[in-house]
Amino acid sequence: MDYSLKTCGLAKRYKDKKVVDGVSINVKKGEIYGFLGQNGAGKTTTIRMIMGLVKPSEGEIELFGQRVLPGEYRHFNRIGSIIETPGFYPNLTARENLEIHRRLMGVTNKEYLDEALEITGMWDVSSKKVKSFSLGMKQRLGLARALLHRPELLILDEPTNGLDPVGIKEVRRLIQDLSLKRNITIFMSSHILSEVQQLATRIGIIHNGKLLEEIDYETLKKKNRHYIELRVNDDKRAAFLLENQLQVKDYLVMEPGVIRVYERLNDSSGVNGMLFENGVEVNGISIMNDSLEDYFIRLTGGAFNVS
Amino acid sequence: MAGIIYTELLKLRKSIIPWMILLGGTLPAVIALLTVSSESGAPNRDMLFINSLNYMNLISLLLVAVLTGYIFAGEYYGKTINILFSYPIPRLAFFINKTIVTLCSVVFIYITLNVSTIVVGYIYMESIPTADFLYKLLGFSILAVLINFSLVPLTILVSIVAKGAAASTAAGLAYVLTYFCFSNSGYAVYIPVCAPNAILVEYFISGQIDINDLRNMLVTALITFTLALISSMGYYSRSDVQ
Repeated sequence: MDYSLKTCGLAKRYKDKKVVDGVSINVKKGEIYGFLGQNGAGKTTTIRMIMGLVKPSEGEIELFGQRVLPGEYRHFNRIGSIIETPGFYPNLTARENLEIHRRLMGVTNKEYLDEALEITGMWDVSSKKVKSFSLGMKQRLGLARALLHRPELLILDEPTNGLDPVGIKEVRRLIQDLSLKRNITIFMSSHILSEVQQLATRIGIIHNGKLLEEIDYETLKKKNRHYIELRVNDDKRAAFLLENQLQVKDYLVMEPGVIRVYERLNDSSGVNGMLFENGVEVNGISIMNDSLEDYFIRLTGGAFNVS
Repeated sequence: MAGIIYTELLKLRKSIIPWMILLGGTLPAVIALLTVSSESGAPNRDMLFINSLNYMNLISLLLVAVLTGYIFAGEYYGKTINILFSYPIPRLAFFINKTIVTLCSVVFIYITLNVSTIVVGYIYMESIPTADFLYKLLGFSILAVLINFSLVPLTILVSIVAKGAAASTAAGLAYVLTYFCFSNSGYAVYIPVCAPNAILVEYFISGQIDINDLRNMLVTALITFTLALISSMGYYSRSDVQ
């Protein structure tokens, strides 16, 4: 199996705090890897270590099957990246900014520049100075810059940051096209679950600096469990009754009044009846299955179990 | 190498830097003219150049510091450093090329100064310097450029550690303050910020520099340059970029 990017036990410590702790990522060639985590989880620091901007405290990085030591730079012509909000030289036009990139990447064919502008919809504004650009336009130009030299691997840190819904949809379509038509490997970080859900073929979930899970999206869909969702007037009493009357252990109180029961899926009427008999009002009952959001919350401990 | 320098010059082309070089190189000539014309007696061409260089050596302490900060720290506060260090080019190559561009900027400042002073001198005094004087002027300008440039690595270090525009400006102001504190002391030739002006008058009047003074100037400038260069190169190539 070809891996475009691998990390092994990657960690970064600042004084006595580990902001990234033992992260081992495996990004296969040609896949879209969604690196999912809340703000402050360690996504950007991990990306900065991969891109050589930050020196890892521990661990190893492999790019295109070869181990990369700190300070190495030769492989960067195979990688396109957007890290946080892309920076540009404000007094230069979009085209001039890309021209700098073209030269420094060693791209001799000037048509690549025009192609990058066209793909990202920046052709019409290519002669305008970047200081007049909105955040969304800068994000698009950042994408153009990342694509200009036709990289094999794209590393995108929150690529839809600052984009309006139309822009988000266009970037999503572009990422899918790049993956399908050009077989570019894409490693993208995001804190927006829906974004990752719609794009990623593989997901890595990072929380408090640790990679909790790395899983193919297809496997995740199969793993996602069904449950009975109960909307009750007294979740504490309902939880007590579920445990004591029906010996239910696998349940979660998602929010006040909403309980998910992962057992007795074939006996929803029995569960409903028991609660009703014991004075708990059941305002709604349905059989559902976990979304990525649910999986993420369960994995990161976002929900709580009342017992 | 040429590609990197081209991109550095492209970045500067539409920035405020060319105007700073033009203004910074012209202003001392204008101030020198005002100084010379306010003195009693016939205006002296040699004094015009001496005053012009005197003011330039002072103004350049701040001007070159700000310019250096823009070239180096500008990438940090402009957030372009993330992409700059993502090219298949070693960080030190960027450091060296940016330093070369800074040196070129210092040279252009002094060229602008001398051309401005010649033009001002011609317009006001209808006098063109002799070949001998131009030779002296060239020699001193080269020395002033080198001494001024010896401070650049120190400014680089300050600006890349602080990663902001204010740091290099503060460094420039610190150089100016040091000048005013020590320019009249017996140690002026040992201090790079004071050294050029310490020997300016003597050089143009006698046409020579005391060999001991020259040696002291160059040695201290070289030490300042080398220590700061090693430190700044090390920091630039190894530091984390947040």
